[in-house]
Amino acid sequence: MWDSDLPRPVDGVVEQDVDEGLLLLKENGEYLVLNHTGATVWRALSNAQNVDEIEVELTRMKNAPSRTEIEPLVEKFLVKLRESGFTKA
Amino acid sequence: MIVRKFGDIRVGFTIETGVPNINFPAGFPIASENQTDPDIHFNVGVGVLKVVPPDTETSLQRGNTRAYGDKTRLVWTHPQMGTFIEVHPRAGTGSIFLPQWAWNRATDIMDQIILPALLPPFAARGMRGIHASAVEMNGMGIMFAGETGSGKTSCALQLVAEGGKLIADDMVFLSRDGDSHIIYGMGDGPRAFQDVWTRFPQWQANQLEPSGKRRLSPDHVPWSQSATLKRIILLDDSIDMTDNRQAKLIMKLLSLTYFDNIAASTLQMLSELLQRVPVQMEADIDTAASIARTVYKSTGSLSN
Repeated sequence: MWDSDLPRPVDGVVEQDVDEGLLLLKENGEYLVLNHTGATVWRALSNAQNVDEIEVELTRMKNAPSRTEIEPLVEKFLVKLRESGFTKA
Repeated sequence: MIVRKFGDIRVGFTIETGVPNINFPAGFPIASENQTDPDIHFNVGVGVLKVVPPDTETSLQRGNTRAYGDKTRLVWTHPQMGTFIEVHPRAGTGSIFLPQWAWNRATDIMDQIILPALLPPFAARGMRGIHASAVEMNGMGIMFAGETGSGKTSCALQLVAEGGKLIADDMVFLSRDGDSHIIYGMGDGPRAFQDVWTRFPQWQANQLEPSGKRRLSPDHVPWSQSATLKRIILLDDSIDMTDNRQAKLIMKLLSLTYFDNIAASTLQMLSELLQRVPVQMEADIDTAASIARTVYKSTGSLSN
């Protein structure tokens, strides 16, 4: 089911793979560096139907924490993305 | 028309007769020669510089300066200076109206008109302009990148005094050639304040710019100098590199680069550059020059 609250990347964000994970650059020059887990969440935002899908994907990662540990981390990360203007509702 | 090569890009210049109050320096391609058709063509006319704008829509920016346009128009703007270059379509070519201060300053024309005008068509062909100076020795290039006043010219002149060849002082063109990155200059003389020139009495700085800077005669600087880039020395040590080093280096270099509106291509180019060319950060000018000497000595390129 589509979760209308799932944020989506704003238009014009440019991505570049870097050693540390993923570099995101907005048109106004602001940038954000995501680690590999953050990069996984970011990329899932374009395709996932809801947050559950993203969290399930994260649990499949190597050495992933439990789902209950992942949920608050994802929530906090999504808030950070929205507050920094890289996503929109 | 004379054609100068910058990598694989041929730039043609045609100087029309009757240009008043412009004394072109030695080395400036004012002579008439029949050569092959260039990729980019400049007509320098009476008070007007005509440019064939890029074929495709282009937008470049660095700091507050922005250029945009396509084959029908090309505009350079700055918040304080306003529109300082504007190309209008006219019979298949565009015309750049030279600001009055540039009429009798050929090197300013190079710096302020021709170099910026080259950036969009060069970018469309994969080249980028970066705020840096560069020196070559035995085909090995070192680039000093940094903000205005960071010491790019001072570093370059130290190495030139020891036998290096100056490639560029303020604007380095950069392109990729297979696994290598090639740097080019446009043959313009370095600019520096008087205190820098007093350290290098062997050269005569004979042009005073509106900013109060002096400039080495273009006679000292070869045209179309190029080299394979082997090291980047970033004249800045204020960036905390404890984490996200590559991303921070990319963003710093991006801030010094004229990039197109598809910043992804520039980010990718800088990422590839950092994978192949080591970067060192050093704000002290003499130490930065010493690093460059060490690089040259490690290859046996510096005689003493």
